[in-house]
Amino acid sequence: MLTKIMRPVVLALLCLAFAPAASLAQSKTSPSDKFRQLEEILPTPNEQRAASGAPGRAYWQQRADYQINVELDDVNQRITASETITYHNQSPDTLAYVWLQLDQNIFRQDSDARLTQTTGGFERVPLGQIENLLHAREFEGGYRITAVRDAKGAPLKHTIVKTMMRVDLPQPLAPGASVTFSVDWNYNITNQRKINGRSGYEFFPKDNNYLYEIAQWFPRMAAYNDVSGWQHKQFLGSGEFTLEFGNYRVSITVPDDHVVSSTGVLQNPNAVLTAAQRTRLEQARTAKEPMFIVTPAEALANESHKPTGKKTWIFNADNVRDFAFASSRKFIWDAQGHNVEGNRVMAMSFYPKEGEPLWSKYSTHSIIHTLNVYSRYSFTYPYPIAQSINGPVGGMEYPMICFNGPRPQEDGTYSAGTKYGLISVVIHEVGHNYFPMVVNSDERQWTWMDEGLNSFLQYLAEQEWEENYPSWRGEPQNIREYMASQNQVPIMTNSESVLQFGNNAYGKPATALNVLRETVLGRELFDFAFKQYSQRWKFKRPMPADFFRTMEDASGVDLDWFWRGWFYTTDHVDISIERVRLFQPLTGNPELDKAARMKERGEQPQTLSQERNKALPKRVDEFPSLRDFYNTYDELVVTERDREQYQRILQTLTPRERELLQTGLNFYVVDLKNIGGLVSPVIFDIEYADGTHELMRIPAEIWRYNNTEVSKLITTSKEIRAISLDPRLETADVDMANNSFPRRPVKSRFQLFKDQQAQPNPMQLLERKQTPAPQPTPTN
Amino acid sequence: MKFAGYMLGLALVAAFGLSAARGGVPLASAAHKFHTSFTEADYNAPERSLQITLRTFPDDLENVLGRRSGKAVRLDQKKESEPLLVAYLQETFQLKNAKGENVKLSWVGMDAGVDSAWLYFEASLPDGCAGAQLRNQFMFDLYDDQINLVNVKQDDRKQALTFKNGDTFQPLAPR
Repeated sequence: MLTKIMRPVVLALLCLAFAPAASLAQSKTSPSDKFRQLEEILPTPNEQRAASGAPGRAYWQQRADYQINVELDDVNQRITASETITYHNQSPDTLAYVWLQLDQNIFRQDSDARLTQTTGGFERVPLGQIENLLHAREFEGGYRITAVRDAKGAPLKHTIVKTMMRVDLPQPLAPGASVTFSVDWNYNITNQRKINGRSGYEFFPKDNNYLYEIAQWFPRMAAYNDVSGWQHKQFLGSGEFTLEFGNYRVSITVPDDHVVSSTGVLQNPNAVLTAAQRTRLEQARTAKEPMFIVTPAEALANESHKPTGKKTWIFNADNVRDFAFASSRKFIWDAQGHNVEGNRVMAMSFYPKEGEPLWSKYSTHSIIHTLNVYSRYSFTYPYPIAQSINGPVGGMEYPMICFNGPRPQEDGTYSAGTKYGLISVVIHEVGHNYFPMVVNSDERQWTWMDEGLNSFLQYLAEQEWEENYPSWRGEPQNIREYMASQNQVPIMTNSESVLQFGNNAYGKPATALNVLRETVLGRELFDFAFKQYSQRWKFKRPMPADFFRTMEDASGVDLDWFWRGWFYTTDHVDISIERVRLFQPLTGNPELDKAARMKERGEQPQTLSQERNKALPKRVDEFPSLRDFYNTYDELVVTERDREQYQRILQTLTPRERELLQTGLNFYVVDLKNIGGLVSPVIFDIEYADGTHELMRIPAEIWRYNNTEVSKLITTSKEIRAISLDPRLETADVDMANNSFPRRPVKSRFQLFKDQQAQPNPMQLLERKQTPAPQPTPTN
Repeated sequence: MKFAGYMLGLALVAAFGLSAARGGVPLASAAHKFHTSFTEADYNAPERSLQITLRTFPDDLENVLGRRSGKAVRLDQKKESEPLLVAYLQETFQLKNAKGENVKLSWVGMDAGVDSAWLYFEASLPDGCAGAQLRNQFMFDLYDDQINLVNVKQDDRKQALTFKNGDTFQPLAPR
């Protein structure tokens, strides 16, 4: 069967040095070299960033410490605050002015984010968009900066440029010097249900209460670094933040019946918590399960409460790059202390009753699970607190605190999608504590550096939650449709210009790292290298080259082709087995070889014309004298001369050469074509005629001389029945139809479904007999 | 004509009375979710039919059907959800044959899991893909940043299409 497909090619006598028939011919210049080193693209290593990918010996970064007093106005939904910033210039440069970020200005009527927003068409309008558009037109958003003063209280000249503010210093700030100044401001908090953003309030009309998730709420120091100088790429809404580390002391004044959750450690529990709450908190530190600090019943009672005054909650946070908080009288609060590799962490969740019963069951458990898994792959969680808050924001991260949206239906039931959606989003947002809260990549430039790495670790954590956890991203087969799609940009695209954000900056890099871990490097090498990167850059600011270089430096494997293909191009993996050719060496023995050729000739089909011509009378039969030697000569009949020649040749061969002639080996040449362009390791499952299988894993370097067509020789004494490429779906090959020899029709999902519909399997019949179990209702 | 379409769209929204629903608002915090559907459309020559598999998120689907019908929709209750789904597909997955006629979709079925829902349907195209046109507005009324990817295949020829809100019909021309 196989030979019919394969057209055996008989080699010339003694020609053991095969010249493959398929040409490996190349033109003088290769159209592309996918293995070209990345040095010409990556920045030149320097004293700040070493060629190994580690921070250089003169690495530096700035530092900013904050003291903030903020009051939350629950009647008018406003923030009024003042801050004192101490900015430490640890750079080698003298700074005449400093830049601050004013993220709230994205909500101004005249913001670039609003003005540059484009619309697709209005024939199908997203539900509710009209209402939201009208609301946005009326809402007065953005900062009102009421004062900028130096340490002595004298006004400082400041200039607001869209979402940035320049503060001119009276004296240039020398290297090693610090400057202290203060800013006063206020702003209207956005209704997050109407103006989608990373923070805002939610109003609960049934009990007339508000829940606040407050973030990007204070003028923050822009980053100044060795790569960008002042990083003042304006905020347009997609590229998140680039910030400096520092210590925060923040006093938050709220109605006296609110419960506050915040970045940092509460400094005045005696002033703001009840005695019972303090006792429960102490017990929760060593509890085996999450414990209520504010019970559902207490939270429900609080809902009908009216405040009698104000309370000020004071929080300290050390070595964080940002600060956020949440506040509401509706909060249920649970907590559990957990030892993460020797660090005692309080894992805590805050949620309104609308989050129940889902939240008390899964949120805090998900936090602790995240800390365990992420710490193992990167570094020990460095902070004393980790919190998850339920409010209007779908999913957003800040140091020690994150906002997560999923809630059950009003009747308390929930779909499986909501349940796993909650666990996944808590893992994802708590996971962001590692990337980018501690490994402080520049999100405004490179979304993938935190979202991609985090989505990768999220997948690992999900798969350790339960077997076959329904992860959205991670498995190579889930990215295939995107990889084959049009309208893409490379991963290495600035955050504000990325098309198909979720696929580009989350899904593709997460999948790439998975392929790197499982298929290119193996788990041991990958995990060592990834941990190196995490440890080298924790509390520092890495750039893409630092990641690429560290992964190579620590694994000992040249990965330039991998970064080039997955991160700098929009190529996809599609490798095809074009054909398989069988070469069998002649033995040189005319008795054997000519018999074989005669057999082959005998197997040639008689053509139609030959058959029809056979019966026609022939002239040589009518005149036999026309026959001569050639009418009986058969070149495949062995002659004495053949035998003599064979003996003569045998005498010229060494014993080793004579042995080789007798091996009976099959030489299979598998011709491969790289259709998708992205070079990939080649994984063969070879099935032999005797039913045995062999797995052959060939590194991607097989493509290094020719990026588009290669031939691989398989030498075996057995007969090959079939070969399949990427049998375990590990390379994200987008077209499986060309992955087998002989070609097997690959049934599409559609056909499989249709077949299954036509013939129900026994299990389906069984299920049909049983009444369906009641299932929770889905939610938004 | 453009104006008429505009009015129709507005009327549609008002008819459903969707006041404070969240939609694709400009400053979407795409910290987690992404809005994409994936479609494989394979032309089956013997059956002269375009066989279509559309993968989407089940919660989005329940959401959009629920908002259109004004009641909670569960995909696992096929008797209730499938007619809504078929009507929605017919409206959003618009296929025209070479003569410019709208092609009716025939519903095959659905596989709904926790993380993905696969919708199967087919469309009769006796003359193959050539000349046919597609416009895929699936979920555009839920998210304004929704992107619909469609990979078309006929024999060994392939074509990748992308649909964003506002995109019009695109010819099917696998090469």
